[in-house]
Amino acid sequence: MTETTGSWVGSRALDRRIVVVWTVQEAVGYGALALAALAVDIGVRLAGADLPWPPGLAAGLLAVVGGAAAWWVPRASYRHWGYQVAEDALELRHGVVRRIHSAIPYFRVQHIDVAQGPVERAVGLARLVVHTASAGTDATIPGIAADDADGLRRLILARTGHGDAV
Amino acid sequence: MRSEDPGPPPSPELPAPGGPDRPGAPAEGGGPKRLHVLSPVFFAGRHVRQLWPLALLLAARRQWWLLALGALVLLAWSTLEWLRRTYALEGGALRLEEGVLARKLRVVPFDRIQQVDLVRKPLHRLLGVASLRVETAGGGTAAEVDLDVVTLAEARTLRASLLRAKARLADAPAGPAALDRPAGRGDGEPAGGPVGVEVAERPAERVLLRLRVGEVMLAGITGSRAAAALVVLGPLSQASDWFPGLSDWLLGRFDPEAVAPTTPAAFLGVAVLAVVVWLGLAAASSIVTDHGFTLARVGDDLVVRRGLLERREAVLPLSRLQVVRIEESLLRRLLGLASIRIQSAGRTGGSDRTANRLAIPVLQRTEVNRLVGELLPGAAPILRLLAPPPAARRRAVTRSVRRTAVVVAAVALPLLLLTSPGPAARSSAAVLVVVVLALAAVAGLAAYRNLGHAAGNGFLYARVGVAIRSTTVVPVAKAQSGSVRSSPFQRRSGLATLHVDIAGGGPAPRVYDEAEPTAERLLQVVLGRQA
Repeated sequence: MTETTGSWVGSRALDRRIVVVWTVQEAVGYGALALAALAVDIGVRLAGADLPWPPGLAAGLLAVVGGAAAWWVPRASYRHWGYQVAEDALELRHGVVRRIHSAIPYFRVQHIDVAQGPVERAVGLARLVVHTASAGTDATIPGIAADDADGLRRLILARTGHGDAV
Repeated sequence: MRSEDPGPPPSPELPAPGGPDRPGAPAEGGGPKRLHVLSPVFFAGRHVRQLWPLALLLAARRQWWLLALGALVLLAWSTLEWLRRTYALEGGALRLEEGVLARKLRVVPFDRIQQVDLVRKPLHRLLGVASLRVETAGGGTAAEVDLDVVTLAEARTLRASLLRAKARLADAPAGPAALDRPAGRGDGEPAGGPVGVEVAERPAERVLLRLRVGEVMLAGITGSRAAAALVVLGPLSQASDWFPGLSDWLLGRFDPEAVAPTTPAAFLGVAVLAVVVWLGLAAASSIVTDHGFTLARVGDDLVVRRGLLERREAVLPLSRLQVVRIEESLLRRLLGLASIRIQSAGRTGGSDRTANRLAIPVLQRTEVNRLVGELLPGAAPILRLLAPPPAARRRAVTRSVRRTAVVVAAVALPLLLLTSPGPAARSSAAVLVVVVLALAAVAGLAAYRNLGHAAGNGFLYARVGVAIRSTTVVPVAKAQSGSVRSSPFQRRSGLATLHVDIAGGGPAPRVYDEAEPTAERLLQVVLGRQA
């Protein structure tokens, strides 16, 4: 009970490529934000308003801050991510700011999704989403190699047992 | 102490997501199939339902060619979706694959299927197709798998095979798993033959709690409706301050001598009268909804009857009961009263209405243990709750004060800047701020005093609240999953919060601000690894 997040006994790390996926996703988000800021900045100037800062400064600042966040957040998240396919339950530990250790007994699993976004597909990753009868269950494992995802899914479903699990 | 069978031992080498005892062969075969060729039309229809404002805009501006282009793109996209979406019965489970850019594979084991609905809307009937909706006990409101659309024959075959496969697996005692919606209980079903048998089997009713008229009125007067009234009435009495012209206008309409409360005593009289009228209304509305409240046990079902004009009856199989919550507001604590809410695993997401129908509006505090014992055998008497560590008190107080300070600053600063008040107003405002912050500190202390938890006998008890104290009783065997979460502030004090996820809607039970090792130990209890 004193293990540190991300590296406790028997835990698995995510596939390293997830860092690329998260970096791209963060960068796209901040990039869109910076472009929007630039558009507003230029638009207001064209409309004749006089702004106290040079054109593009706000967008530039956003781009710098966003770039730093897009670099740091995925790497920190990766370091803090770990999951374990324990004997009776799936356990996840993750979170940089808010740390979360969640556990989902296999016999509670209702169904499983293997999902892939476009970026994940490009690098050959998939994400496993485990559903229970509760909407509050936190059970998404990002960054599984696409070839392993099916195996992991079978492994979990093989342990679910019978009944409706409610 | 789990009530469910943990299932066969894990065997990861198996190719299928089930042991060899998982039949499914008759239902399976054929490999992945696409939906009916007309499905893209239905997909497009669903997209149009989201995009219609845009379409309307284009139509209004008479940009027909854009509209036509949009329709073409939509149809092309829907066709791509149709090409990508396949379903199969395979390895003891229903597999659904979908997605053009973002892809998803969903696997639903047969024995998790709760309900299979064959839906035919007018357009379906016209085209001779059907939509098959497969639902599990999952938390969402939408069906987990929606095969929209397949031919009617295919829908029937699929439904039959799914139900057959599930029935085979359900030979083992699987609790309340029903293939279809439970038949309407209590509805006068025109049963053909075995009427006598059914009557004979109907178990006797045992009344657990019956509320008298006075108690129902008390529920209304001490309940949230009356409190809401006071919240509304308080500011209303100040209305003349906000609208200086209002009283003049009112006085101009009536004979001032007859109406205007000229003395403080008269004003007080009017205020008391208003409160009495309002509490009377609260009591009356409570009587309308809860008159003759009866909670009874019939066999393995819980039955609640209530209502003056419209008699309502709610039935809950006890096995579907998930959580019992005892709520005590400040006022009710003073009067030795409490209320009880019952959370069940609703078949659909919106189980809030069911929860309201099952709630016990008011009862004596001395009765709480007896009723909790009836609702959750073994849970009563409620164990002595343990207080969280002193660090939690500090956190509760600082949190309450900090939050209030933010609100006070947000209100006070603009006022200060806009009105630039004189020194007298400033000093009285400063006194007001100090008083408010002191009250916030008291509220924080109350929040800490109300925190508590206990675990034992297969139950977890958690108490939380400031003005309304609510104690949640969770059967560990009903926990779907659990987690221990900590914010940076909590970690600084070595604290963490335990979340327990429960089937159905309603708030999730939580143990706030416990020492981190305790929270981790409680998670092990939730997982059934520790008693």
